[in-house]
Amino acid sequence: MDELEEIELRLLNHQDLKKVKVRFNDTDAMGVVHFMNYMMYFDDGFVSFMNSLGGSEKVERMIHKHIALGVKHVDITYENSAKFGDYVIIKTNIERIGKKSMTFFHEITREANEDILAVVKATRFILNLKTNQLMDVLEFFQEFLK
Amino acid sequence: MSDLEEKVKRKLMDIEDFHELAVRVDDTDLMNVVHANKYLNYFDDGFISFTSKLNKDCGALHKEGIVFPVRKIEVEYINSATFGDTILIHTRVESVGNTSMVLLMDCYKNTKSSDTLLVKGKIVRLILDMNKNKLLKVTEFFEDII
Repeated sequence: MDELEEIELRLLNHQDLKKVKVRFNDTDAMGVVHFMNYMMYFDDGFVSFMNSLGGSEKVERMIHKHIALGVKHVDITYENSAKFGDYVIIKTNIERIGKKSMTFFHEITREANEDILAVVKATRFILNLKTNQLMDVLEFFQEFLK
Repeated sequence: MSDLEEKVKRKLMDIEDFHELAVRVDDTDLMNVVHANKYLNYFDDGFISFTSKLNKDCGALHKEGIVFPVRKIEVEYINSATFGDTILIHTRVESVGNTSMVLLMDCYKNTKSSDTLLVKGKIVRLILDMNKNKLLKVTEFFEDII
């Protein structure tokens, strides 16, 4: 197995759990978290997943070095509603790794009773903002995991 | 299906709406583009504009306890917008189920010379009577458009 195959296997086997508390301003007049805000939660899950692989605040440092991790496609199915005061758990893993994109799977649950709140598939790409070129996913992680 | 239901469905699928809005500075992120989640706000604005064309006032309905929860979304991001851009949201109904409807919502960057497609959205919405905690039948709810 070569180095890139090992990296791919490591990425596909990795899973991260991130806990977030629902803030008052995440909710809308229906008394539940507005559907838009689940995107914030899985953004948090994504950053936590990446940092759990690369080290504390690695994503933050990388973004300031002009590497952007953009979203290309998102599917969200809403199963239940989170409310103010809930803690939600965002489970994240990578479902697919392509040449220039990767698809993340996130499951957002309510901590108290393990109700599934939303299931998300998000396809992301890595863009070098200096060259405006998409980066090869595995080559990116070869650097990121060092 | 009765003739009336069929007529309501057909009418719903015939109506389209165009809604224009200006990108706010706080819609953008540190990459200087509108953040992916903000398009979900734009979809809300587009939906409110669309329903007003059907003589339904979302604000007034909300006060009566009638809301339009989102069950599922699918979003494809094609181009980006930034502060200073105008967004044009094109809304129409793809299909009508018993208690749900599928809306197609495309966002364009609207300039004087051309429209650039930014985002394609597909949103499944329900109609919920919060007083009775009961989903309403779509064709009955919009019956008065005939």
